[in-house]
Amino acid sequence: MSFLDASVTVRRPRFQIQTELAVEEGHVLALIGPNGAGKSSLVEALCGLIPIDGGRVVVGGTAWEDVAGRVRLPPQQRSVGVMFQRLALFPKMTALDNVAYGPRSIGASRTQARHAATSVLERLEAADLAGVPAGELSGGQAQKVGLGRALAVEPDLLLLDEPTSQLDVATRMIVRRSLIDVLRDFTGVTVVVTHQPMEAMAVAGEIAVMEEGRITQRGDAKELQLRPRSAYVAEFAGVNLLEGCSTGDRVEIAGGASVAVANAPRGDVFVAIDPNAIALHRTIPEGTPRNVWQLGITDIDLEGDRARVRMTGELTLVAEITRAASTQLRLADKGRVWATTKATQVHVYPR
Amino acid sequence: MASGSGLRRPRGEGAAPGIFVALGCVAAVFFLLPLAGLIVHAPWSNAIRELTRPAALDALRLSLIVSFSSLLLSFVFGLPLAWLLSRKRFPGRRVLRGLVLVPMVLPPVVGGVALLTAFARFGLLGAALERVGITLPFTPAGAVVAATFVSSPFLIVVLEGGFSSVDRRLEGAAATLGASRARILRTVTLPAMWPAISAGAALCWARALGEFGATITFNGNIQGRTQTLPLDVYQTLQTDFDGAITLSLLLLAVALVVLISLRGNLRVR
Repeated sequence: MSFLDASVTVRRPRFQIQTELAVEEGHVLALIGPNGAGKSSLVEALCGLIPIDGGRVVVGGTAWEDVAGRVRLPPQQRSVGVMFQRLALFPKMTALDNVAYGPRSIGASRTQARHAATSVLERLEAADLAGVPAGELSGGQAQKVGLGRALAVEPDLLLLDEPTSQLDVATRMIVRRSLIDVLRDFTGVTVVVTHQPMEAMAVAGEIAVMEEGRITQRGDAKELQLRPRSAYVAEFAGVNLLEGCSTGDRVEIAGGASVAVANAPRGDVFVAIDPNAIALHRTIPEGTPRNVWQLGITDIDLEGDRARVRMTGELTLVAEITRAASTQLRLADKGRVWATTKATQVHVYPR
Repeated sequence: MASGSGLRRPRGEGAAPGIFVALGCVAAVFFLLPLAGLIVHAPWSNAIRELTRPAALDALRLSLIVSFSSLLLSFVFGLPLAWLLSRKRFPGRRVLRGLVLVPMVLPPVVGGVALLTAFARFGLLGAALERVGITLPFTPAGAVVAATFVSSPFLIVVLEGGFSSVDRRLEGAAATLGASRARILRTVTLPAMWPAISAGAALCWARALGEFGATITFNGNIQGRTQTLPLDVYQTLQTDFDGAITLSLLLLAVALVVLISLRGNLRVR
């Protein structure tokens, strides 16, 4: 049995969570998914703030909740540290008192609690914030204190709900770095809810995708990138995802297009194409690339020296090329382009 | 051209409408005039003699005891009730909430009669209380009961609003950190609703201090036992207008001292 072994059903009038979640000791799992997928509700269920309607939550061999066995520990009796989405720091207490609140609540003396809080803040390089009231902290500072408060109780299960959301890019990097540092030494199980692909990949060894209350896919970053199983995951991993029917060397896509593939399984398949593996041309390309589609450019996103080009026609694709190539091809003028890719660059896997 | 710039002031920063200023001034004068009258008419030369009358001193002492006791009782029983009304769903909650409001809208003298039907010897609970040696009508304890009956709703209503306004996520966060319910209430909930506590306490105490109708009906007007300052003002007024003014000023002064100290706390938010 895994250290965290949960099977959670939560029923609400508008949606339902039904999911299994097992994570080994010392591991970090990123939980991603669209808004309203139930990620925050799952966090609340794991820490005991909302009751589950079915299943169980077992951590380190202890049943925190078991509907069949009529076990339900209140949040106070669960060894859990939560960093809430909007932090919920105690606004009038200082940063130090916020972090010391947990240890003090579970039996430490005032001195011990402050000592523990000081050392946690030091680990997060936030010792200078100790005396600042939480209501006066900046976004990044507050996030660190929120993380410190969750860590200070030395929990078996650490739940981080969007730990770097609502931060500017520079601050996000700083908070993320201290998060990575801290999690490296953390021995319990960590579940990080996030919307950011970079964060999920940087912080967690494994990523679980939650859509409409269910875990729809789980794997490491590579797995998600090579074989996304939903439009959300494809978008998250930044790859093109098509669905179709395969004959082994050709996939017929719904909508009429077809994709040449190599050594593919037959039947209903997903087709994943890395945007970097797509080349663009203004004239019909020479030679014999196996896949050529004439498509219209809908828009272009510039990111650093890369350009992400969205095109639509018999199928919809995103290509990623260098900014220089984009300028040379005058893609800003929109219009039609030929998109090509090699059959060997196309990943095909059963649906 | 800059000619139009003067007209483009953002809304809300322009001059107040004249009619509002005029009506507002009338309201201000309406509040100020009676207070000015008290001060102008006060027989300042006799003030010390009036205020050191035994009856006046008794009334002052009793008023302070009664108003603060009733504030304390309102907290002891009203805080839990306000919490239940705000946080728990139970059958009859709406009825109970309405019931709490009744003393606020009931004429106090009717409240006094109602208290007699409950706690007088012939009342619903009076005989039982008598048997265990508790008599409420025409006693100082009865004055506290009457004042609490009319004043505690003010505290309960404001505290209920206070409990509802507290950010529940903070309480949830405290629970996940291992804090017991009592600790959460003490360290998170009550500090967050401090403005409501202090405003509710001010309203409740002021209502108890001024209580007249229910007290005189339920307890009569016995010097040293049930005669509070408002009752003394009323009795003195029958024979001695100047004395009544002096006592009124004393009541005003006591009220202002307490309210200003509570308002000072209010501003902390």
